[in-house]
Amino acid sequence: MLKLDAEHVHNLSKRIRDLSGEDVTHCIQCGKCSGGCTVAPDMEEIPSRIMRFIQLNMKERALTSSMVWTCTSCLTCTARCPEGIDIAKVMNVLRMMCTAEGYTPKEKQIHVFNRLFIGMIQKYGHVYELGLMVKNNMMAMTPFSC
Amino acid sequence: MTGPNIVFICLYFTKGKCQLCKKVCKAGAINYEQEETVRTEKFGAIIVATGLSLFDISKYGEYGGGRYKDVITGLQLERMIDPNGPAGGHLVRPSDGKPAKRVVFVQCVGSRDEVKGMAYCSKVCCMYTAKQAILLKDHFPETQSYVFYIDIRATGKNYEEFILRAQREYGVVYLRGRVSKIHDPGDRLEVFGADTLAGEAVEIDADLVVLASAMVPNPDARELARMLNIPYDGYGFYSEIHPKLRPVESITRGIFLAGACTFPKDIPDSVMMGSAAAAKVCTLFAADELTVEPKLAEVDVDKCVGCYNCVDVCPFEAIQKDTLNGRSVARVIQTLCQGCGNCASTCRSGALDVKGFTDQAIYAQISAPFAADEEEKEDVYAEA
Repeated sequence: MLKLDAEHVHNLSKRIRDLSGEDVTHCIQCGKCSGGCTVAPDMEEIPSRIMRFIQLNMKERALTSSMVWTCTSCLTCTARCPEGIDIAKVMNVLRMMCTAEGYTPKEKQIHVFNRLFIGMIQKYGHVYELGLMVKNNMMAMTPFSC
Repeated sequence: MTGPNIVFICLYFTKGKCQLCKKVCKAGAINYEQEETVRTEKFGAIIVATGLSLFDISKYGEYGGGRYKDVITGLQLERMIDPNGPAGGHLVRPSDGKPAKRVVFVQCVGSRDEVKGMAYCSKVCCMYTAKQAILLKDHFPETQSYVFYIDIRATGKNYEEFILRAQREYGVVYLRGRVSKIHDPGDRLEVFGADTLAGEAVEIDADLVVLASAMVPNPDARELARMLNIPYDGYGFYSEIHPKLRPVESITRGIFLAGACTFPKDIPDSVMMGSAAAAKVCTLFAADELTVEPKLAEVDVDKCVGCYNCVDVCPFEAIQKDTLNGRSVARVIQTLCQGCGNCASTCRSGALDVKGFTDQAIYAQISAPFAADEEEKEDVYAEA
């Protein structure tokens, strides 16, 4: 049950606006982003629903969603949004908040992969695919999968 | 000061004193002895603009309509915030008089409900609810409003932008879902609804709940319609002669329709209909003679036996009982006849026919496809 109250309902959207510059309250829930999202068919949440979670201050749902981590930043959503909201940017900000506040998604492997990826770029300036694959498989305890 | 309050505070009516208004009125327009009168007059045209009533919210027991004092209708909210109204323009909880800060608006109460209410959409409520939410925030800045909706119908000029303003500039929280139940523990109202966009059931503590109740025909609408020979639909809304092409005319020439009596509508549309109906009346009165289509029913008085079956079947009440040389015959009122042909098909003596669509012409049309050859077909057509 979501208990709504006046004082807090706009909290998360204000924070997202401060961090990303994007005003999620402008989202009219049309669903166009979700319709074009390249990874949405495989996810339990769709981008427009994540936007709704932000609008209603549902921080837990937004930050524990695997959608946020599976987002490939393909920018299809951003290109198509009729309100001009950079949804991919918002997803990125959510990822930042997750890392900063210690949230991990249910599919932990996605989070691990992202951290390895970013770590590799920080260290080498680019992604060393073979190294990434090996490290990922070791962390996932599946050394021989492809 | 206007409205029904006046009789209860007027010193003349309550105590027989004062009469100051009569003394100062230069036009001599004050008459305390005026009584309700019933007059009979003849008119050339009637414009029916009898409007609509509001749905009885007590039918929604789950909302506590009629039971919970703090669950009111949109119209009651208008009266409450009116400085001349019963609450002196203060936004308060009717139950205890405390200021109301958390207001929940519920759309579609009685509308879009095939089970308990009307199947149709009442059209104006999405807009007036947004207006009310904006007004409350303007006059009472500490108010937080929520609106539970199913769809937002904002189909007029600048209407969509108005809804967006309510959400973005006035902080009104719009939640997509119907309200399921309202509890009244005493000091607040607990509203249980849903937001289908988030996929969550939602609970809000409110001080005041405003129901956007459906617009329904007046209780005496059908009775009036029968008097004026205006057909109505299953709900009691008056039927136009053509819903798209002749929206302000009834089936009877000279009786016009305007405003919400045909269906819920907002102010611009009502004004439009009123203007159109008035213009049509002016057109009617401007000419010295009435011009009608020649497709009219005609009685052959030699064949008419005066059974008057035609009078019963005419939807336009265009046939009158008449006498000719002591014989009962039917007479068509040409200005009311619409050439539908009901009378012609009913007439058992073949006395009634519609000009341009005579019985003979129709028989010819039926026979022609069965004609043996082209020559016979020509003969059939020639006879008609």
